[in-house]
Amino acid sequence: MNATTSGLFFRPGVVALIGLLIALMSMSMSPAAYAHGGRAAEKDECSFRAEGHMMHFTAYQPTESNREELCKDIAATANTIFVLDIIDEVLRTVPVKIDIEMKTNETFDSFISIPAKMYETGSANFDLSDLVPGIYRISASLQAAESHMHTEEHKHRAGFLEFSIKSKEELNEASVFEEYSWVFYLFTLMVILLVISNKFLSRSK
Amino acid sequence: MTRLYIKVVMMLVLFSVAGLALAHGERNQEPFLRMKTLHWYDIKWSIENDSTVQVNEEVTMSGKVHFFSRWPEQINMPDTVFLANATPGPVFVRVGTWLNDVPMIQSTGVEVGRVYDFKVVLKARIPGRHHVHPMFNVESAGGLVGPGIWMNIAGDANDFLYGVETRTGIVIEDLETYGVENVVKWHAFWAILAVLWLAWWVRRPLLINRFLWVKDNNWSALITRTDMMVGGILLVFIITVLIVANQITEKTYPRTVPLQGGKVEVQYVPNPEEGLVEVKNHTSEYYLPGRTITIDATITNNTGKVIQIGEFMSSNLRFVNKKLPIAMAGVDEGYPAELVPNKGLILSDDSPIQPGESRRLRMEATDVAWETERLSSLLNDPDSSYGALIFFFDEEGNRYTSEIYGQILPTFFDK
Repeated sequence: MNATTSGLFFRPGVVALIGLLIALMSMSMSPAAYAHGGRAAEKDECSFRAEGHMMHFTAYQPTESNREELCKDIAATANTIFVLDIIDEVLRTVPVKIDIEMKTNETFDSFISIPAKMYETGSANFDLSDLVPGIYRISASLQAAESHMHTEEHKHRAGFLEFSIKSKEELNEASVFEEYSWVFYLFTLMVILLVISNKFLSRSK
Repeated sequence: MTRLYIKVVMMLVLFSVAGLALAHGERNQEPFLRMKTLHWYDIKWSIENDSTVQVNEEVTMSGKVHFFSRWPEQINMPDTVFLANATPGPVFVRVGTWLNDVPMIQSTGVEVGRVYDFKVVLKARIPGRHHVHPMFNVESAGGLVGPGIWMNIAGDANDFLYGVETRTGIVIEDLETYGVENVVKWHAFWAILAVLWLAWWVRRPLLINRFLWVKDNNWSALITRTDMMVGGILLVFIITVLIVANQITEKTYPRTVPLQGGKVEVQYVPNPEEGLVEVKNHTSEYYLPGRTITIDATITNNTGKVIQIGEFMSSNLRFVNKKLPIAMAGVDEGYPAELVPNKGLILSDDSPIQPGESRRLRMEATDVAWETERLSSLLNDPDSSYGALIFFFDEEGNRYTSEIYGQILPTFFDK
């Protein structure tokens, strides 16, 4: 059978290419695409564990991005609302201390510290303004070990999540490449596959 | 080689989109499905949350289910529904289900705006820790689950026995294996026959020769006299086998009932207190940073008695007015804690509502559950509206149920 007379979409190389495209698009959808609504909070890249207990971090900038949920890359704008969701039910009666630290010269220094308190609704929120660009981390530590049925020897280890505050210009530049980098990788792969399938077809003639 | 290549690629596609299934799959359902279809309440389980039963033990779930009157337009009305259970596979066997005491072996149709009593009896089968919910399958909408608890099954799955005694006194030791031997025999018989029939045709050249005969209009060469004779003998043989097998079956099982199709009818129980408390939603907002739903509503008390707001319930989440003891008494010990938010329902005015009074007030329901249950994603829907039930109580402990619904908007301002 003459391969050129068959339909384009039934040629083996094209079928393989389409299938691989679908596979790569599915696999290349990074965890960022699943954040905040695409996946359950427990599997979100904005989640972290504090002494084994799940926390979820969200930042809102209503005047900049309306309801968009941010976590890893946040623009340095006037007003940002930080929200920490304490997902594990057991922590509703355990005092939780929240710290935000800023990275300076390879070490993290305290930026803001919210004293330990109980969050019976499972959520803590606070406003921050005029954030300086840099690398930060938000951490949660559980206090009052005895009320959480842990012994003094097994102290809670604070967990944390790193995030960046970037200037708007920096964020826009980086975000374009980060958002569309998969297009370049996919295009390269498509070219390679086309070359392979063309070689295969010409050999089978 | 090409086919193998394509198959590998297709498998890659499947692997890349498949994921791991865990509990709380209802979180993947759209909020409008969970808030404006079924509301389950007064749920009771015959065992405690996270307790253990042995293989072959029975557990019961019962309670009430309210079919919301503002049923979503995107799905069919509940004219065909089936009462079932949601478990991770057949870890339990469903022994029986009832709706208003009517056995739900078949599907039924229900009316929106009505409440029905349900009961589900399950028998433990596969050891493990399982999350178990009651569920309604609604045609075109899929499964709508109620609140669930963890149940541990201990023992050996090989010990599972599901025996029954038929109405004619026949004792069947285990339904799981009853008649399977017979099924296997008959399947093998027909499979062998089919393979022989295929072999009769495949043994001769199939494609090229036949193509050439068709090209030469040599139709008689396609099906020979021998082919027709063999086909005829096989036809007679098969029909004879069918007649004989039918007679054997009739003799072995003289009294049978066909598998029931159609729908069974269930009457709802009229509620004399329906509509006595009117609730009108004015505005509703979701304060994102605080994970709070705020509802501004007017409540009109036509009960003739003094009432108070006891509970706001939506998507199996129960925001209870903690200042009202009778409302708190309605939360059974052991009820799943993740479904009863700690802070409860906050009211701008929680004083009793007098008979005939119309009061406008604000209700606040705050909990991270709005996020973890992914209910806040209703703000991304073209129809951002919510649905809920409000329970009122009078001084004698009588309960009145009202629906509330309305559009909801996001806000970043905490009022």
